[in-house]
Amino acid sequence: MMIGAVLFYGFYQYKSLKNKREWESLIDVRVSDAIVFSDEAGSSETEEFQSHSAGGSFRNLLLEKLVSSKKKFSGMAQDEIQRLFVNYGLYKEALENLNSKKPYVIAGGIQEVTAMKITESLPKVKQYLKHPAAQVYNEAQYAMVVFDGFNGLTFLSELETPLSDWQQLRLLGSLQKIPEVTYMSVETWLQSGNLSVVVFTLKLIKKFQMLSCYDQVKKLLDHSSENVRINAVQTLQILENDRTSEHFLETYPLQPVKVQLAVLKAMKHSNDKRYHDFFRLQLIHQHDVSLKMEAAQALFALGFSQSLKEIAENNAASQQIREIVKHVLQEKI
Amino acid sequence: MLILIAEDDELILKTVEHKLKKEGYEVLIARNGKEAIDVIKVTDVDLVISDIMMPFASGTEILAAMRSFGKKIPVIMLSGLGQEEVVLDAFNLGASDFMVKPFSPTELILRIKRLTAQM
Repeated sequence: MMIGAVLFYGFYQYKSLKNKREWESLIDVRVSDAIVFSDEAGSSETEEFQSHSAGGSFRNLLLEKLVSSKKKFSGMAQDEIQRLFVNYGLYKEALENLNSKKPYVIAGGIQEVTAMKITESLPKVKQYLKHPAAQVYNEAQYAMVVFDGFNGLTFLSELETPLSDWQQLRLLGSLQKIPEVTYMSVETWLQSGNLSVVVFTLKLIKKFQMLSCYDQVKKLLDHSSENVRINAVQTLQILENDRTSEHFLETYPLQPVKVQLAVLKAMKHSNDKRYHDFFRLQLIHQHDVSLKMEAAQALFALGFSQSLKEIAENNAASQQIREIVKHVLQEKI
Repeated sequence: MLILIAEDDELILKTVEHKLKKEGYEVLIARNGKEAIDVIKVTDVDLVISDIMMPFASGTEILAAMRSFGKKIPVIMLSGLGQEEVVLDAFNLGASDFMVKPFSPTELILRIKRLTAQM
């Protein structure tokens, strides 16, 4: 009995997999033909495809494949994929998935309505911003930004859950431009109690070089979170003005090593030769090796390789410093 | 003109194959990097379209193999977003052009025409 059940289950699994492979192949041909031959009337649809196209499982697979196809092609090819979605009436399946009780199905439904740009689904997607499952609210956040651009980020003002690094990258990547008047929201997000919102906003300011936010970002050099301070340093480097290096020098002695390291990296890119003595001081007197190393690299980047060579050949300098300098010189040559 | 497409994504492979055939090109296909290297070794292909990331051998490995065979064939690389470093390696190894996915098959044809016009 038991053996029979196992065999039956195994056969069922094999049959499903075989069906799926055959269907995938049929769908690939259909999508490919639509892209290449641009058939509005569906002239390249085979009888086999037609016979399956009413079945629920087949239609769900077709929807899934169209969504993934849209990520592979651009231009007119994307329009053809969209046309297939409309012609096969897959709108209904996508909305059904959106109304499912299972989080993974809802997340899939959100991906589908987003890829196919079904704007009518936006109110429903918006409701999922507060869904308890991370995969659902993450997809909803992404969808809001894809549909509404910068305005889709308003959820940040009330966000309590952390934005993962990956999610931050996705959101930033999907934003192509920002409206000119954004200061109010950005200012609010910089003061958020959700640290990931503050860090994301700093990355947003950096990406779009929002120079008007300079003073707000500068205030974050005193933030209680070390990660926020590091991101603030990196953002200030991009928004750089005449006084940025001075601001860095003021905050430097008050910061822990990780933030100091970020400051040295930022100042290295400033190309300002006036800070030779500062870097030299860090190289000679800092206790932390990573800071010494960064200071040596900064001196090299600013064109003081002669000064570094003198240190490397100076027997009065400690063995450790001479090795660091030699390492930097060898690495760069 | 004989074009080899090396791509492990079936839909992209089929679409590019059909598009090229529609344009009158002869086409060979390889579903992984090793297959592509084997084809290049024994066949005089005029142009290669290759994905950067593929099983068994990557696009850059295909370029390195071509160099070792002494074959100078124009290669258009297809890359994903965020693969800039690999694309740079590919250019250093002699790639002629590259396109980032998602890409337009129509634009790919235009690039092939431009490249072949220079040959």
